[in-house]
Amino acid sequence: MAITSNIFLGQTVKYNNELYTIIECQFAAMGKGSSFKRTRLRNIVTGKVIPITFKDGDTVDEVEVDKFNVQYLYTDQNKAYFMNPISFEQFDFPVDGIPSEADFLHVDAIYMASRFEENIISIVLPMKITLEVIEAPDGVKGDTAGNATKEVIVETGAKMQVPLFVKRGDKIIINTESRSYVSKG
Amino acid sequence: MYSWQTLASNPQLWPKYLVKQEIIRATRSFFEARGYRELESPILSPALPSERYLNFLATEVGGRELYLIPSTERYNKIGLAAGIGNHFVVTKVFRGLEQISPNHRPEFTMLEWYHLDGTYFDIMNDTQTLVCSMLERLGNTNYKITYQGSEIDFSGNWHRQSVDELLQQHANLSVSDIADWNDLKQIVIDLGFLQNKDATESQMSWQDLFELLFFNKVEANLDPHKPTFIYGYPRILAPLAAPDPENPLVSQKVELYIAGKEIANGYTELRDGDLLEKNLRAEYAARELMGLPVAKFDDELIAAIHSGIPAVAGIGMGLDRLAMILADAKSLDEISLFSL
Repeated sequence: MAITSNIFLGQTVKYNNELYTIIECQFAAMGKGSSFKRTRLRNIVTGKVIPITFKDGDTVDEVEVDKFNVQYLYTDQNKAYFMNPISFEQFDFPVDGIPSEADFLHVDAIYMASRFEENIISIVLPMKITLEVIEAPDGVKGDTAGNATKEVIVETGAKMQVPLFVKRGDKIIINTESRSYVSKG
Repeated sequence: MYSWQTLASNPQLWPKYLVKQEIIRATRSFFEARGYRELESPILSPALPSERYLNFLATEVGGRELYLIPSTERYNKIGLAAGIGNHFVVTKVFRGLEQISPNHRPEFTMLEWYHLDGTYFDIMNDTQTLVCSMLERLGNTNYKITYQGSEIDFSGNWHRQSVDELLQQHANLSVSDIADWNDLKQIVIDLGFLQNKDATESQMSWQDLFELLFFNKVEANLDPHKPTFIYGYPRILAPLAAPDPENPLVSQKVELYIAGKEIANGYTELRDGDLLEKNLRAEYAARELMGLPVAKFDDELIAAIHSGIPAVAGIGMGLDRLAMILADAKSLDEISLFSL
């Protein structure tokens, strides 16, 4: 049992006798009767997404799932392929079910998969990931302020705001949740 | 990364940050052209018409507790008793929040206006015209915008639906079906929106149950492409609004929704001082029962209403959220130069 004020992204819950992964969760309508959590739940079996608003303090059933590390292999149309590096077992997962979709999928990073009764139900990104910059404009001439930024593209294709000193070929550390630059890798 | 850093290196983002300033300018022109006075509201208040779920922020001056206004309402009404007439106010207001979210900040800019001899239907008309004048100011001439990939059409008449009609349409219920706590709780459980079937009234109040029903069945189904006025809320949700003479269960309260966000909240104002005092005492008692801090009771406001205010409708509009929509911003952060 989890109290809804403790529910979090990526959690698996039993709702009306079906299993769902919480794929979106934010505060709603504060000041209207304490507070509510506006969520989007993805049905594990059908993939259907439903919006549900819970009252904070209500209870939902949390489901125990098997969690293990996986390595990303490749993406093919709408599916990403992963492998368990211990058992060498391979499986696929829909790209649109992964947070940030394919923006932070890289063969060198370790992801967390959750399984419930033979089905892979979620893929969670590492909090930080190191990626190489493949496209970067030169810093704007004369702009030496330490806090200015520019947009670069990293090897997975994601666009990022970074400080001006970052160059093509640099490795940078990115926070995958806030999609922000942390430091040079 | 701070907002100013993003802006310093991406000056093309400035127009988004300037939308709020432009809509404030449009607001002043709009009301000036209609002969409205502008009221300058204090930020600190010695007392509040405290509503049960409105958490306020307090400070202390010389051992005396003062409150940061959660809305300008008390000042508007005291001004009406003084004879200010048609007027508007644009100022910062404050709310005690447990968390900051993409749609919530503890301080935000509120516009309130009071339309003499008007009802909540008149302020719906005002709102439509005002928002269209804001769009004109922003250079938009067809009154259509794209918000997060979805079109919103502000032209012509916006949707106007009562809570009763919306409940009928989306949940096959009427306002009278949900008047009793036990009935409403069973409805919300049957629909699957309340998991804890043993919840007591102190854990899950009537208002909480109503919001669960409303969020999940009504708000989720509002037309995303057109602004919607929802009116005729159950009376307990609007202690400062006049009751509807045709349906004693509901009050003359209206809320405006755009892109699923609540943007404005207005009433045909309650002018009966005795009823106002009774409603506010009930709100104070409810807060005390819930163990929430209670502001000093607003005797001055009650006295002002007792002295007589003209027939009037008033509305408060959150300009940051509106600017966020008009700027196609996903979060308030995207239009705020300063971070909190």
